[in-house]
Amino acid sequence: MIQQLFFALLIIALGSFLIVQGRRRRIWSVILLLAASFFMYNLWEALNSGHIGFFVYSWLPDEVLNAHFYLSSSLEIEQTLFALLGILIGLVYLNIIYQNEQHSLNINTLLLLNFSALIILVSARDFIQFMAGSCAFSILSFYMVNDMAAKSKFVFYNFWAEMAVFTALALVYGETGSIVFDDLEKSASALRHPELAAGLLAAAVCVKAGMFPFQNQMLDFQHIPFNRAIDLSLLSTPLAALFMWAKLSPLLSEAAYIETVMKAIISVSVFWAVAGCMLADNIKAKTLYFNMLFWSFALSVLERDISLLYSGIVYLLPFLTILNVVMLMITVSASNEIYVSQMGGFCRNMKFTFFLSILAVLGFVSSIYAWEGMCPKIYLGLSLLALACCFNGVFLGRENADERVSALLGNASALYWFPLLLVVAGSLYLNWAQSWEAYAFWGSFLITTAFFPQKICRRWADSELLQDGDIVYVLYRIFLLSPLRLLGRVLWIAVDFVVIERSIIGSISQTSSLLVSAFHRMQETAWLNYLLLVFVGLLLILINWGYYGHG
Amino acid sequence: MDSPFALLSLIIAMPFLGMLFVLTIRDDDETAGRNAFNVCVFTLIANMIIIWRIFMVLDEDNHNLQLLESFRWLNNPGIDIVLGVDPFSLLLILGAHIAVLIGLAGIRGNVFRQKSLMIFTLLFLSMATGFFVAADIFSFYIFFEAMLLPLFMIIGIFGEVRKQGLISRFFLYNFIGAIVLFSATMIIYHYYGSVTLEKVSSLPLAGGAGFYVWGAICLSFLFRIPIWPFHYWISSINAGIRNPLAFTITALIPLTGLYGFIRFLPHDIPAFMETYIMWGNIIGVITMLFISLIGFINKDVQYKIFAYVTVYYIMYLLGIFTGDRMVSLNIGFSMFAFLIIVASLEILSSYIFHKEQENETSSRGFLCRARKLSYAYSFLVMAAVGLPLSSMFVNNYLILSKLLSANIKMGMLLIFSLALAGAGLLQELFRLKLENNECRLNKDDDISKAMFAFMLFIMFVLLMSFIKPLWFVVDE
Repeated sequence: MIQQLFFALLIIALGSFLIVQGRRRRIWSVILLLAASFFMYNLWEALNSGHIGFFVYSWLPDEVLNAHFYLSSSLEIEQTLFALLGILIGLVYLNIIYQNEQHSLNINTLLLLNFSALIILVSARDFIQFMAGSCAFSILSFYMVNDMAAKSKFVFYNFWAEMAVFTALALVYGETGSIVFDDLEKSASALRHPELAAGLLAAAVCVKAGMFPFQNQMLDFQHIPFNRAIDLSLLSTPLAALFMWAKLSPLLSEAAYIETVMKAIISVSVFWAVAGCMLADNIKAKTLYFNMLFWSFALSVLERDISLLYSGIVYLLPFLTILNVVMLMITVSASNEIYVSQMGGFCRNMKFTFFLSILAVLGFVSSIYAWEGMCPKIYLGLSLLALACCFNGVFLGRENADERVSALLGNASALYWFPLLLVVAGSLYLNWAQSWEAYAFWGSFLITTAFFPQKICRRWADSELLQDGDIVYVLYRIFLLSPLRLLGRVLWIAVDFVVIERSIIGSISQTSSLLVSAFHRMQETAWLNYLLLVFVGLLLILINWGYYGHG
Repeated sequence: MDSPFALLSLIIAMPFLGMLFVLTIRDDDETAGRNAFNVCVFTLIANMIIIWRIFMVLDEDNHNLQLLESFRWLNNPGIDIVLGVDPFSLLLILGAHIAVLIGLAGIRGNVFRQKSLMIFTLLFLSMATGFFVAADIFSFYIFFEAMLLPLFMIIGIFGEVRKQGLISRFFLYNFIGAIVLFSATMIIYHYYGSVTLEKVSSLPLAGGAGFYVWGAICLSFLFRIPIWPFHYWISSINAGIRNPLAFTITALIPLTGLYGFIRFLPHDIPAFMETYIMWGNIIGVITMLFISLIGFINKDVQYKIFAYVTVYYIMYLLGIFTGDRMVSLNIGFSMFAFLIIVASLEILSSYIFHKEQENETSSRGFLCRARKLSYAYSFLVMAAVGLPLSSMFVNNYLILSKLLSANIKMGMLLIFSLALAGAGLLQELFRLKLENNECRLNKDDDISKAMFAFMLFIMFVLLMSFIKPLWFVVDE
């Protein structure tokens, strides 16, 4: 089934590129949505019938490097893709209804293509297909970013991450001669430099997932439209990072230090995400910090057991999507106001949205408890604290909105809330929490929301350094970029100009001109020159005679 | 003679005949340039069709020289001229032809010394093709040096900055290179007669003669490669040329040095040569780091492209030094895409530069308004930095894996240099894409539809090289 899905997505996406971006773009987008829904239905049927597809193309049938293009799947992969396809459909729908998106057809087409790249990545059985899928995923995501500063940061981070993966896998192939994932365990133990390969891969995973200190490539999405920020933080490189971790875990486990380093990075990332979620004033930034918290949690889960990616994390992603959409719905209801300090007390005019939001949180808690044992309670507590802080700032307390926002304040249109309500209700029905702990957490969340000391967070709303500053980038500029530039300039001036141009080329040139002038002077019509030449000739004859003897 | 219809001689003769044809064109300012251009394009396409035909009759799995053509040049002393190709050299010939064709697309509207440029381009291409199909030491030497004449003229006419200095450096390095290679050729001839290139690497040249011959061969090839301390003349030339075709042709100079190494270096490297190889590796890595750093900080796009070209050429050189046949073949496939990418990037950069000059404005933010140019430029930069958009991706993976397994430290430094050179190109892409209200260029300044269609074709060729490297070959 996966091969049909892959080729159908590819054809439909490429077809839609040919459609001129005109007034009917939403209609074409709806057609894309229907097509994606149809594919999901087909996948559902295939899953029920237990049909597992198999497609393999001998890509590089070389005796040295035998690379294949696999689209064959397992039940696990098909189920994973089914869950992710659900998210895709949700995001396509969101792009259609979100009025601020001017290029919904374009972005939806890119999303479908991105999903095709994801299929390549997920079903890869060798390094070549895996790297191609990962790069394609990054390239397509890059086209979805429409802010140049964010785009450039995204590209540079991912470029270095791809280079790290490329190097690590080249190292494995160079030392073991195998590119197949099935042999990875054996290859990893035979590696001469496992620490290096594992370190490079861990760095790539952290960069792609937007972990500390590489979080800014994801956080900069606060400068692009909200729908795109959601698309990119959910169905983009962090997801690729998880699959990267899962597929290459034998390599990562070869280096003992990786576990400690990853634990430290994840812990700092969690702290950073919670702090950001609470202190950031921009609701888009809050959402992105919340997603960072989720990805940190996902990595911490994978660190314990990689099989939980397929059996747990991908099923939590729809709930993360729902919470993201709730945030977006708040800005839509508030006439695109994005600053929480300019909100407050919205509950009076948006009772239904508030209700839906806390219901979505219940859905999130229930779904986490449905996969018992997977979730550390500290993560759940921190997530709920971050959400409580956000909801308190938006819905409760004193109203700070300006007149325009206040006048137009009201629940978002049914196009937003109705599907959301259906999904939340459905998820609650499916994952109705059996544990009292889940309700205790949710109850605590409600109490925290009601009594959160918002003043502490508001105090930081005007801090430019905190809200817009990029401390990590400043450090990167000071400690990496500037020294590199300085070194480059010094080398350029010192070696190119002084050593080569002035000394070497200059001395050759001077020597040549000296010789030329000497010969020139020797050719002049003066008896002393003739005498000198005769003398030099005689000298050469004598030297030759003395060296080679008489015979 | 194994070659049907003397195909190898034909691909050398075709550009030469084209050049003679261009020479006969009336030197009229209005039409001469256009006619010469058309003849040049036609000759190139015709030659590419013949090259395609050669691919059909070539055995792809056989890595020895095939389709051999032999001519007796002199009876006393007995010197034979032998021609032959393998998939590697044919790929390079095709890559060079496509690169020159792309370069031609970039100078379509030029009027300055167009006829002269076409004459020397065709002459260069004829000599370069001869060089790639040369299968004996004499024809190799003749074509290796014969390429210099058109190059000398092209640099003399189009090397716009510090022309005299460039020419003197060009002469100095290549003169020394010619002398040492000639002496090495003579020594080989003195001991073993007129031998084919395949046999050179297995000649039992030991002691002082071996040391000198191999030293001379390495030195003459190194002069053509921008490796420290010989890099400065090529960097001065490349950074000073604004004509995209002239740049593309001069960017092929290092390729000739690399090809020389591939043809001459024995697969089982003798012990006395390991010293040369070791120093070659050390100097190569230092040069890569050095040039990539300068390319990264330099704001001139021409230098960035030069830095990129240099870093990749040195990577190929280090790959050749591994002595692995698989690596050599992958270098051929990788270089095929590399040449196309460099030529395409150069013509687009040159287009942007000329628009900047015409309108006396900064090009920063130009790509925000020129969508067609933006698509093409972005694609090429992404392919250039090694993303899976051309054959460079898989082939570089194999080359780097071998280099890493041979020497991990060298490999890591090499990859760092590649990334830095790529980052330099990305910097330029984002400079062009960053919104700037002061940029007076707008969508009317975008590339023409015909040019965009050509670029789409180039992108297609690159993508196909990634999916199936020899996609254009149909087995008979």
